[in-house]
Amino acid sequence: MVLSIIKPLGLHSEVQVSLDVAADTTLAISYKPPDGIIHLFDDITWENTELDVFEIQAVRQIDVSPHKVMINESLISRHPFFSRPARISRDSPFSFTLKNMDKHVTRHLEITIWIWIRDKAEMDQIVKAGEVEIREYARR
Amino acid sequence: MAGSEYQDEKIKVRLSGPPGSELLIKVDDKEIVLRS
Repeated sequence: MVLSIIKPLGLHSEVQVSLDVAADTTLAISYKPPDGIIHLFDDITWENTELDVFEIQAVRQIDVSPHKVMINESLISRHPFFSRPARISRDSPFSFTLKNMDKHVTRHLEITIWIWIRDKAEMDQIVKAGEVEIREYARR
Repeated sequence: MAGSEYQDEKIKVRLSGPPGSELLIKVDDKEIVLRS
């Protein structure tokens, strides 16, 4: 599927991670974009009715960009680290740790990392790599 | 969006994202790489 690009700038995509984490288990997670691509990190959201059972910490201090974005309010209060938009590349992945604090029960978590695709050249590289779903960014 | 999955006794994880994306997960001493 090749998508027509109406606006070369301001497109966004998303990376979705679905996790079942065993009780009392800690994970270190790093997301790297495709080779040669630099994403602009926009936001990260969590889907879980029992988010409090997870402890989430930053591993790497990410760069601050001048872009202003709207951030999930609950995320700001819980994890202010993630309110900073930043460039993500293979040399500079987006990293964090996550622990299921429950001592007995496996818990499920859905993570969506929202990313900007900055220009048409970057978009072309992604499309060349294969089928990809890109939607025009809608301001939230 | 392409995707891949991994499962063991500690974790089950599914990744979807732009083709060529990678997710590196470390659990205990084990490293898992998922590629979309």
